[in-house]
Amino acid sequence: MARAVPVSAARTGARARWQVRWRKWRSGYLFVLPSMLMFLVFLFGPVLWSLLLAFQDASLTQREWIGLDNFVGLADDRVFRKALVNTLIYTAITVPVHLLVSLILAGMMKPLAARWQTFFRAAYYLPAVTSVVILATVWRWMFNPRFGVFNQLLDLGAVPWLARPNLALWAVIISAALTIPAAGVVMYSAAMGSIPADLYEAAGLEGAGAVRQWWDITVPLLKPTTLYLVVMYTIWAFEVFERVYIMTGGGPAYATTTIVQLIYDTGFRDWQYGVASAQAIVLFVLVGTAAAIQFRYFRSDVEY
Amino acid sequence: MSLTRRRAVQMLAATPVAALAARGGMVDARQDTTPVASPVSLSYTGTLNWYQFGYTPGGESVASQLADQAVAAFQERHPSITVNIVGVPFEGGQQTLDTSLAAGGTDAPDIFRIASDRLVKYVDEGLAAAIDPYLTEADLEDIYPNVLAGVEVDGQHWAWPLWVPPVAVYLNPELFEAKGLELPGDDWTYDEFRQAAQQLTGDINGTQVYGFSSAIQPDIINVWAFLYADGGRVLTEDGSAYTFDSPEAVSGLQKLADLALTDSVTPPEFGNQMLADIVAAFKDQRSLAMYLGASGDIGTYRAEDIPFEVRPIPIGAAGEHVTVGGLGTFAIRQQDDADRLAAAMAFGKFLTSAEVAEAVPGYYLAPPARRSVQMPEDNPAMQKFVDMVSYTQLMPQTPVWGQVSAAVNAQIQAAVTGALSPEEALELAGEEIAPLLEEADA
Repeated sequence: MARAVPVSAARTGARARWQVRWRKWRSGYLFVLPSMLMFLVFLFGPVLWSLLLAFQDASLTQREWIGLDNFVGLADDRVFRKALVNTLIYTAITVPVHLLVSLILAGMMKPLAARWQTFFRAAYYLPAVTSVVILATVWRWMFNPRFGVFNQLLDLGAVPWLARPNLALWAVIISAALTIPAAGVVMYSAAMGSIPADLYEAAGLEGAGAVRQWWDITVPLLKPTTLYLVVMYTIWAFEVFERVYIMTGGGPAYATTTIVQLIYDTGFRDWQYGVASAQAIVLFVLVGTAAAIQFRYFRSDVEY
Repeated sequence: MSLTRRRAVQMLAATPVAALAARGGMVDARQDTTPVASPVSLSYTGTLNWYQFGYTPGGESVASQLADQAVAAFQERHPSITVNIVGVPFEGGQQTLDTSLAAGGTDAPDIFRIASDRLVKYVDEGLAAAIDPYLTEADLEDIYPNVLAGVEVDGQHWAWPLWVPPVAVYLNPELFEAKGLELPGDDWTYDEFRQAAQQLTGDINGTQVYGFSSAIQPDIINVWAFLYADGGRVLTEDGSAYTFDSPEAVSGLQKLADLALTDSVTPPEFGNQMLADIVAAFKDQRSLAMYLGASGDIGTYRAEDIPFEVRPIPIGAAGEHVTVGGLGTFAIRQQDDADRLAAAMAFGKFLTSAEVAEAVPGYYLAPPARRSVQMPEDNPAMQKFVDMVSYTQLMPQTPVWGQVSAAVNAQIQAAVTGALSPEEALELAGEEIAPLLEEADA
């Protein structure tokens, strides 16, 4: 029969254990404290505040609790629906294209000598360290109907890519798709380097060709990297803003308006911080749902 | 409505007459008959914060130099006051200004530039102070009535009107000459304008020239001048209802769409062409014969010796000169310190006066809001803009102006690119705007 432990003794024991643990780990806690404080104050705090604002009629100086009205309003908002569809189309096309391009380029780099791999990794990473504003400005020139390289190269005549509602979103998507996905190339390249060579040797002995090896060995074993990239690219695609803002300003006729641009306009132009927060919450739910689905399908227990 | 003692003291102190009488100062501002900006002594000693877009310390730009000189002139007249200019960038600076205003405190802006169509939001939020206690009879006679009406909300005036940049047509005289066309007169009609645009479109000296273009962006109202010239108005005067779906407005938009879709006198990117690209086409590539712009471009063209002419908007179906325009103002932050508020008001008045124009040559970069300001005679293009002020239609006051402007321009883009008919486009804009106005009214 178990002996009952007095409450005061149990408390003393718990305190002692806590003290032991604290003595053992306190330096660790102190080291992460500044980072955690920054996270709480500058990230978690604003996110929480945004969540609260989504249920309020909030302007620059005034606030009133209105429950779900902001979300109900979004359902009836034609511009929001248009922005949502634009963002989904942009994401649905650019994410797979970026993954595929990353995979192909990394695969092409794999057989190269180490110094060439380093060279190409650096070259492909250049767009990542170049401001999106500059890239978008260049793309804007490239799509100029009269002197832009795009029409000239393809001999298309004066197609006004950015000025026609039925073309503008595609022009933005093309500009994004044709920008080398730097992070993907570098990460896939690094991940490919860590796949054991004997797997390829065994497959070769069994008669598998290069394509078969790539498809049956490389691609499946890159699943952890693919998961990370697909989640990150999806988040980045949902958050597209500068590229659209510079290339089209969201026009013509809302043809390229995206959710983040709408959040920016609603918050900072219109001072409707409650509505903007509700839009941000919808975006958060979308991104979260997409990430959950991606985790479900790309999760892998094998890692190299 | 109850009047608290604190509020009563604030109101009393905010009136220059009362405040000065209490201190032995001595001018009844309401009896003052001259439009001089700073006839009264101020009891405030300390700093005023002036949030100014595009200002960089050290006078790197002309506008910054003018701001520095204006401050020096004011401080010379009021040695007890120091003006601290806080430069905020054009891109993203609005958020800095807004959050600083909302935060308040001694570092908050005392005075700030604001376009009149955004003013009502600041009034609604209690961030702007009424200027009526500081408006003299002379001011009321001096400021153009339509301009003063542009800062009126609920029967009170909320900012010092600075200038009015009406929208006009910039012309390249060299391209007119190359085509053997005479420059039009000020009373030209839409048909004459259209004919000129058609004749100017084509190859000129090896360059593909387009007769006309204009920016159509969410916050740029330049092309609305065509709709106004035919009698259209975006909202009712009180800003409570959308009226751009009228036959007059549809007629104006049809004319604009015809220029692009029927006459092909506009560049292919018309509809989503950026203002900077239009200016570059006009002055650098010389591939644009006419475009709609405000007076701000004059300085650039004069500095770079670019040939240009300015004409009013062609007369449309309304049968008289009409144009649209913005109104640049200086608003003063509402605050409890009555002395500081009075000093900020005096500074705002000074910055919008004839006095500052005399003290700082070249101060006014757009047609001034006051009759008493003498513009330099060596700038005939600016004089053309000045002449337009009396018939310039300022945009109505509504707290949802940003959304109204964006919605209308989005559908104008749809119309001029052929995605929608003008009638459908303006109706669709109305469907978007009507609930916003209802909500704003409620």
